[in-house]
Amino acid sequence: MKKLFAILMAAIMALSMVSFASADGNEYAITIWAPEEAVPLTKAQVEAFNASNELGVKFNVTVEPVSEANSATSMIQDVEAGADIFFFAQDQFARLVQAGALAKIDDETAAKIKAENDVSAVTASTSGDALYAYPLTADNGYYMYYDKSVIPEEDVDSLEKLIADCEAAQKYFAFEMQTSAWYLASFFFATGCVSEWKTDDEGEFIEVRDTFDSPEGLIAAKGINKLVKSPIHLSSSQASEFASNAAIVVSGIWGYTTAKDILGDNMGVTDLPSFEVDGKEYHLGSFSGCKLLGVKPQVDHGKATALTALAIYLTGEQCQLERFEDRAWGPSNLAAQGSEAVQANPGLLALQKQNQFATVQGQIHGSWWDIAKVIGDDIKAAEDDAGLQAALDNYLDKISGLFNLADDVKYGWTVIGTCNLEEGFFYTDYSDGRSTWTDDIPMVKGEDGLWKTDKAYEMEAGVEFKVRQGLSWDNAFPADNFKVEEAGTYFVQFDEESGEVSLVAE
Amino acid sequence: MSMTNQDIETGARTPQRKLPLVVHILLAQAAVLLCCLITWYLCENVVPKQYSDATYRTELVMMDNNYNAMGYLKGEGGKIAALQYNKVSDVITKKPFYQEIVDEMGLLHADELQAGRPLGEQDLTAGRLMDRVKWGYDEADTTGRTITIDVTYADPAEAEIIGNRLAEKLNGILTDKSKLPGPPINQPNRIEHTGLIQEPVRTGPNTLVWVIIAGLIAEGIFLTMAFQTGWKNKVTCILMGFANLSRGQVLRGLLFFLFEVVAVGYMIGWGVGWLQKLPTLGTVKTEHYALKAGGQEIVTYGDDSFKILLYGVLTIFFIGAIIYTYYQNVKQGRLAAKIEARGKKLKSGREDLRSLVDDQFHKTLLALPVTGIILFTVMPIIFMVLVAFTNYSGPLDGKENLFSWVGLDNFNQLLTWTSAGSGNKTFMATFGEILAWTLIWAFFATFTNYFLGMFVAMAINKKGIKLKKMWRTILVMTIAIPQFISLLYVSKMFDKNGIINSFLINMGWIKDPIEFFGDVSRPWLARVTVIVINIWIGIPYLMLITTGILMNIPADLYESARIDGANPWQQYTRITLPYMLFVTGPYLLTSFTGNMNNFNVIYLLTGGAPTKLGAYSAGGVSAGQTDLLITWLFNITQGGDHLYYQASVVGILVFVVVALITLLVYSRLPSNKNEEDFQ
Amino acid sequence: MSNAMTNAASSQPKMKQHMGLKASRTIGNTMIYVLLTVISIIWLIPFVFIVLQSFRVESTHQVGYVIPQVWGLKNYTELFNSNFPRWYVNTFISALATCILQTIIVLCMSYTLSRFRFKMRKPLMKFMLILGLFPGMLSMIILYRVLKDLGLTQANAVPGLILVYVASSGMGYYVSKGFFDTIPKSLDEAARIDGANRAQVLYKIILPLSKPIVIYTLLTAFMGPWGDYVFARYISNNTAAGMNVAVGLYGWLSQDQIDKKYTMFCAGGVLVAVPVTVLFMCLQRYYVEGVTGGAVKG
Repeated sequence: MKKLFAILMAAIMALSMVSFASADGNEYAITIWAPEEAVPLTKAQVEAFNASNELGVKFNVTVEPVSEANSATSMIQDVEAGADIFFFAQDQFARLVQAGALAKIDDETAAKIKAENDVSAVTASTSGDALYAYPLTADNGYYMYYDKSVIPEEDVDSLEKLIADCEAAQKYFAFEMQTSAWYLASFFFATGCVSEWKTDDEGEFIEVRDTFDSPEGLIAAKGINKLVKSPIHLSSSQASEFASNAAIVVSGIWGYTTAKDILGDNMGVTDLPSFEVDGKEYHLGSFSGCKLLGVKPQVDHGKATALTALAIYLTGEQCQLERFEDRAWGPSNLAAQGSEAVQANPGLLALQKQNQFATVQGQIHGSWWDIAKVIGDDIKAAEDDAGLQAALDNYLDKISGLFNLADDVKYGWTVIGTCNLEEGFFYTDYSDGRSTWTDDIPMVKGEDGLWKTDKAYEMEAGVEFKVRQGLSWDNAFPADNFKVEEAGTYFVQFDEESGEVSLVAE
Repeated sequence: MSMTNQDIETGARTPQRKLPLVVHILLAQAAVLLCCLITWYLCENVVPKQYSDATYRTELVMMDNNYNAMGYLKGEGGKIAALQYNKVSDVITKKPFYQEIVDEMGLLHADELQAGRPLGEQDLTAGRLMDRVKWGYDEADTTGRTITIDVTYADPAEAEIIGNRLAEKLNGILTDKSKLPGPPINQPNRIEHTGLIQEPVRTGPNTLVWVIIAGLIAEGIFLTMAFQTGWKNKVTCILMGFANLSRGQVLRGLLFFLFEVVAVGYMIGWGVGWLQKLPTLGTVKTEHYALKAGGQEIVTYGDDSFKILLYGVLTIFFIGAIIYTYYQNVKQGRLAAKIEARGKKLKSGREDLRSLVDDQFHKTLLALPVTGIILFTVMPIIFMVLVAFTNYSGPLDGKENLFSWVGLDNFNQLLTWTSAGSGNKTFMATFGEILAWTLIWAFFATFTNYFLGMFVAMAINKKGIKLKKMWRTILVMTIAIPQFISLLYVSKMFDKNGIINSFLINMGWIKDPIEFFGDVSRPWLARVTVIVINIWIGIPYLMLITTGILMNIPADLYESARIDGANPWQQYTRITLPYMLFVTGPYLLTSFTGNMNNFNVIYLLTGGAPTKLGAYSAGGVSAGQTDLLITWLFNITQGGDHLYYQASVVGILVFVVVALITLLVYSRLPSNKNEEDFQ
Repeated sequence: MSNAMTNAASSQPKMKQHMGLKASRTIGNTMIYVLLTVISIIWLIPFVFIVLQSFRVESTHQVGYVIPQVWGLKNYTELFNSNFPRWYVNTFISALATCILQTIIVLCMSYTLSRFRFKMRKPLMKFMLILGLFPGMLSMIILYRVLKDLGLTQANAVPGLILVYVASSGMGYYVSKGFFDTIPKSLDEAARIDGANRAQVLYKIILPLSKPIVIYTLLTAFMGPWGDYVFARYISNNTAAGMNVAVGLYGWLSQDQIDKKYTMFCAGGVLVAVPVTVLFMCLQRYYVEGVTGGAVKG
């Protein structure tokens, strides 16, 4: 026993062996992860690339059917074993960058992408100053499918009427409120709340500006409350719910075929309704997001360049159009979006109608989704307004527990120049060693939406100053300093929307 | 000491030493000293030394009237706070300046290459050069006019060249009127050279550590040698297997020797490397860089913390194995010497092999299974326990971002009983809640299945019931069907618009559909439903077991009881139940602990839903109302930030709880004490 | 436990109670029949539904009713156009290999612990008991890593899975050991006196007597890999060639695929369940013997 034991310990040696093999020359063996329905098309597209590319590169490709959600999680779990190219939805973008699963795109290719794709898609692929992914589709938003035989057309704009219609017909209203924050956010966007995140170059989140916990947020919560408290509310986004007694399903373009199959001519497609609180109507917003194509960072320079070429091809106008024809995926390529066929798809039309109210998804921290989805549950459990407020406070606590919450200082505007805050005047002569451009004079936002300094200041002619935001130089107006022509005592006034700086005499 | 020692028991004679023990020990010490000296010499003079890079500082002092530049470079708050590395670099990298500075680096690189200087030799692109530059403020200068440029490079002279070039370029940008409008400059900015702020430091090899290690190993070997008698046994301390070989035991000797070769080879080749990195868990980061500015990026992978942890721990265990084998080797030498002295023969190779299928057969049989268990169960557990002392998680996955030891931080952070004030409960509060539910679940799952299964078995077993086999077969069939199919389908049946709800509404028993698994205000509904569904899964199995046992109870016991006037209930409680409990005692215990870790049923049925409001959020993952500790643990590893270290802490706590329960109950079980009776 | 109640009292006449007893027994039996029928229906319903759903061809997504409107075999034929056959073969191979190897290992382990008395015996059993209390989830991550370094993941997931299933299977010795405990030691001793070494004792004497437990172990080992979802998914890491049926079928229930794959899932489920169930039914006798013989005795 002892001897065998000892000898078998040597078997541990086997565990420290590592072997690798890679392709050589201009032939590369790669793996692509694409959703199942896109697998055959992707294979065909890669073959077309092999036949037509200028680099003389040939790819031996294995396309695995992996859903977009799974591909992101799997890449994060093990980057090295992951696919070389993978399709993913943008909500995992930040985590993927952080995990080093996305290769930074070089400047030339990035310029091409920016020129050819629509703005939301480019924003989705950007972290800090660089692009990390290739835009694939711009149709990741949602809108409303409904059963025309149950819901009269004139009711589709009002949430309350829709709920009443469903209750009367004893059919379900499927709007995912409890397991996903993606749909939930539509109510908050309706009332003007925001949740904006800033990242640095490495994809690290540095701060967030979140106004969900506010009077506007409470209005949104009341709207959600109306919906979730109704017995015909179903928290789901599957178009197949139509076959299980639903009359309305809020879903995206991926549910189009199923909805059409089930409802046939009774299928109605339109943008989201509005809800009413305290006499005011709010049109539901939505996220408009994208699907992206990611390329894994490579060790071999040649392979990296070849993969970039393939990625550009796969996300180019022709391939995007092919995908639209085959699968009804709304393209992000501007030229493809303009084509007639794309313009004619009713699902995409409804999406475009809804997109007027949509918020571009942008970069959002991965944990936000987990934190925000609890709001739906909290609201459902709340008994009264205080309960609703508690749900929002809870949410805010969790967010601030995780990140630096931006406060009002960061978004306020101030005046800075050759001015002295304490003594209350602007000057031009600083030869006596007075420090310059050090004091920020605070401004207050008025009822008219314009920012103004709290009091008027004496200014000499020739004084220069700027108006800046958040005590940093990122946003400062005007581009060249504002020069005072005539001496006098003035307020400084600033219009946030237009960036116009002006003086108002006292 | 007498010349020969007589072993009182065996009457054998142990061979005597020629010299006293003390002398042997002293000789051993001398050998150790020699080893240490050799190691010291090698480290200092033979092995090539390594040095870290030097850091050279250049300063750009801006004069007062360069206000626009100062304004631009001040950063947030308008004040000169104690700046971190990123602040100035933030500003510089975000403005168009950055490209100019990078281009300047490219030019510098080209110049150096042409001049044949070391800077040009390395494969250092502009991007990688920029990585070596740190921008900041000189904190000593409170007016905030002094920008510091720290360049880290192996050769201080080159660092100076880089720093100078950068300072000049920055100065040029800041004073360029076409870029930064402002009043005319009265005094030009100054460039100052502060010099080396960090000298190159010797990083390896660390002579002292090596000498100590060599000394310890040598001490071990030579001291053991000192205690051996006979030259054969002494040599075996250095050349393993010699004791056996020299006495004719070829098989054993060769095996030992082979092991030594493999062990030493492994340790020198790989083992030392892993052990060196183990305390820091890796320092070489993964680098993403482009061969030219703005060009195609590629990556070189640095250290992998996970691999280091894994192989480092394996190496430590291997060292343990080496020590154990060494000990065996020496011990066998001593035994062999004793046997020889007694005049008996030693076992030959053939005899060894023969005994492996005879009196040592148990070792042969156990070898493979036990090795498998050690490698695939024990090792992972030890490893995961160690993870609880690191910060291994999704963001710090060991490859892109290295992770490191954090000691007891995780425990301190998580094992807090009072809330920090945010709306969520603390970790321990949530843990406690989930633990409570796990215990309740395990209890009910085990005992409802047990009694109901017994009841069904008794019902089928009753005299007068026909088609016993058919009833049993129907129920038993459900055991065969894989759980993931049955559970998934059943969970869909209980959906809000699923079959169960449609059925109930159609029968008119309820008006509105019941949300079995989604209703956060009625968690107990979900919990009860889960227990009920678990009955569906578990009864067939229990029925089988109890049927078998029931049939073993002598029937005349019941006969006589009935005649004595006992009603069926009394028969049950006085005869059946005690018998069953005695026989199935250990099974109940294992079933209970098994249910505590019953992952499949909960995960496939509910995934832990409905959400537990206000629960502790582990990296963005909160807990559910029907979550067991194990499904919660799984979700922590799968979702959110993948906080593996938290999962490890939970795993350890789970283990502690379960082990306590098991140990408490196991030793009290009567059937355990009577194991031998059955044989 | 053997409080012997003698049959001394059985001589009392039972005639008087006979008629009433029979009536109440009939009522009791009828109630039991009803109960058993209800139970059988409840137990079998989900499977009946799954089978019914697998024949539904008028749509492929979830619906609220059970009986198909249009019957057909399309779901089954579609299975063969997908990756399902590959998964099936994978699972079958791993089940087969696991069943053989695991049986060998478990039998080695349990026989040794039952028959031999050596110093480490009781500590070893206690040790394994404690090891079993650790949640197995945690080891998943590191086993994945080790397998990855050995090249046994993704497309090569099957050998990797087999290795992991088999390697730790020694811990499941409990039932088999109980069975071996019931075989009297005197048999062993008699054989040894006749000159057999221990290996021959095992091979020639004990094994022939152990048919039930061997079949039981083979059966349970075979059934294991068919249902393993979590670990198989981790190891196969999205490579369809390496998945087993559980991972593959579960993948069809994801949000973007369920609408087209739901009925195929049911069909696949049926194809997985049927062979395993049939096998189980044939060998049921041994399973029961094994479970009752070994699981419940000490």
